[in-house]
Order: sequence, then C-alpha cells, then structure tokens
Amino acid sequence: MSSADAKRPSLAALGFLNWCGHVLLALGLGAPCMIVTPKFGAIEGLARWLGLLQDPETYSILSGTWRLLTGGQAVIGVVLLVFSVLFPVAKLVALRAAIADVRRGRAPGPAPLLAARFSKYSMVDVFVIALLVLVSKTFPGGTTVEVAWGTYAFAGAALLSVLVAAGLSRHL
Amino acid sequence: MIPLDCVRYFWIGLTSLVVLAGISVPFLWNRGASSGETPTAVPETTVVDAGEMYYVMLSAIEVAPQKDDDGAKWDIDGSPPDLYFEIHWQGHKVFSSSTKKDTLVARWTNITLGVGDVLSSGVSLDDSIKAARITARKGDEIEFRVYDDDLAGDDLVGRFKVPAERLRVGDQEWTDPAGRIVSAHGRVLRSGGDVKFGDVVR
Repeated sequence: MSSADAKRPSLAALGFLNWCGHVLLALGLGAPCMIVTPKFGAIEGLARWLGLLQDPETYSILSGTWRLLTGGQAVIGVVLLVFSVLFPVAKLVALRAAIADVRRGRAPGPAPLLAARFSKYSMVDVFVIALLVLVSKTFPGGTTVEVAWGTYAFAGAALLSVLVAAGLSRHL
Repeated sequence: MIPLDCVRYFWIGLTSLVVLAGISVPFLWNRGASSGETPTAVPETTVVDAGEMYYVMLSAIEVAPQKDDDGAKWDIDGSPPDLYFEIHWQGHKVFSSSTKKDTLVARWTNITLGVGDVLSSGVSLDDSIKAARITARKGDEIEFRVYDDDLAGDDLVGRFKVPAERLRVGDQEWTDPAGRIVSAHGRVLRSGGDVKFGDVVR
C-alpha cells in the first residue's frame, strides 16, 4: 500500500461518517434549534398575566419553515426550505452516491461536484441563528434568543459533510 | 428502459430520506403533541375537583324584556333594568357584582386593575379578580341571585342554585335558569393556578 493510500480515509469510514451526518442532520432539522423567551423588563409578571407576553417558544428548522410557509411568508419559507433542508439533504445524498460509485471502482459522476456546490450553503442556518442570538441582545425588555441543541446537531452535520467531501476527494 | 444508474441513485436518495424522516419526524410529532403552541386558552370542560378552590363568576346575563308575564316595565320610566348579581355559598353572600344600568343583557369583565397595580412591580391576582372564591365540596350549592337595582328597593329578577359537583371548569351556560333570567353565562377558574387575564376576560 502506498503512502498516499495510507493517508486517505477508507471508504468504509467515509460511509460511516456520512451516515452519522444523516443522523445529525435529522436531529438538526427536527430538534429544537432556537428558544425565544419574551420578556418585559421590570413588569414582566404583569405583562405575562395580562397576556401581553407569550410563553417561551422553541423552534426547529422544519417547524419554523412550515410556519413561514403557512403564515403568509412563502418566499422566505421557500428560501429556508431550499438552503436549510434541501441543500444539506442533497449534499449527503450526493456524497453517498459518490462513495458508492468509488467503491464499485467507477467514476463518481456528477455527485462530488454537486456535493461541493451544495456545501457552500450548508452553514447558512447556523450563521442566521448566531446572528439572531447576537441581535437579540438589543431586543427590548430583555427578550432573549437562545441556541438549542438542534443547532449544534445541524452544525455537526454540516461539518461532517465537509470532512466526508474532503476525504472522498483523496480517492478521486 | 430506465438506466440502472438512475435506479441506484433513486434508491440511495430514498433510503437517505427515509432515515432522515424517521429520526426528525418524531421530534415534530412530540412537539406538536406536547407544546403549548397556541397561546389562547381553551376552556376546560372538566368537573370541578372536590376540595379545590375556584373562582366563580357570571360573565353575562340576559333577562326577559318585561318584568312579568303581564308585560310590566322594569322601571317606572320604561327603561330596562339595572342589573347586578350576588353569589351565595354556604349561607353567605360571598360576592356582589357591580351594577350595569339600563340593559337587558349585562356583561361583567370580572377583573379590575388599578393604576397602582399597573405601575407597581407586582399585581395581586386575588385582589384583581372580581369573583366569588369557593371551595368545591360535595353537597354544596352555589346560588346565583340576579337583581334589578331600584331606588325603592331592589327587585329580584331570578335566583337559581347549581350543585358544586355540577360546576365545570371553564365556561358554562344556563338557559332559562329561573324567574325572568333568559340565560346566564358563568365561568369557573381554578384558584392559585396559572390564571391569566385572557382566562377571565374572553
């Protein structure tokens, strides 16, 4: 075995990592990614009792996208659906297809190229949530936006897909 | 004939989607079932629990257009009655409402907030809700008495009793309960629970 072979990760390992990416992406899409806690400063208790404040609400990427699509914000909902759901899923599928092709000793076809293109947009959601957390520092009344564990799972999936793509490129 | 590659890619995509959906959908399912997404309170319809404390109030009353079957007017000047109600429990008058003047359909919001309440950092919920506070006990009866407030002496419009075990948490309506009362809308809330302004004023 050449030194180059020794350095590149095995296809089995890449396949396993890709499946881990599937799990993390699924968690990242369905699990809570953001918790919005409305507050009203010194009179928060009164405001909450008067019904001026809603209870803290959690959002997942899928539930947030669905809300946008059904709440009259179809354009933003579609954008979120494409970049936060479809692109990450497509990238994982493309990587799986490429790994399968290389395992069979075949040319990987357009899959690696597609995966590389999709990877540019994998972290969009994470950046948006991070920005929201930053901006929430200026919300009136002390309202907070907290990152929930779904965001970390989503980010993990994006990073794993980058690793898998990088590892696969050594086989090409 | 479909190229074999397309079929293979299709299965790869399908299995990935199945795995993704299989893991993410239960989170959404569980969230939908357990989360309080709708902030609007849905009135409960459970019977009150014996031994528990409740707020009992009438939120609206409608009375007949005439004072009696002979068609007598409510007031001398022909105007509608000035309605108020009392709640009696265990032989005591535990609540008396404000008077709604010149109306056949009276409505009470059952809550008052003073300027001091708004400006202060704490609001006394118990002081703000205008309702009878009772402890539900088997065998108890809650009596509602509706009056027409007159200078010469208040006229009893009607009175009716409701057994405590028949009270339901949330909204309830009594149709033709007694006397000249056409309908009465009551509301029962648990005392000490997470009562919100919107529960009292709906």
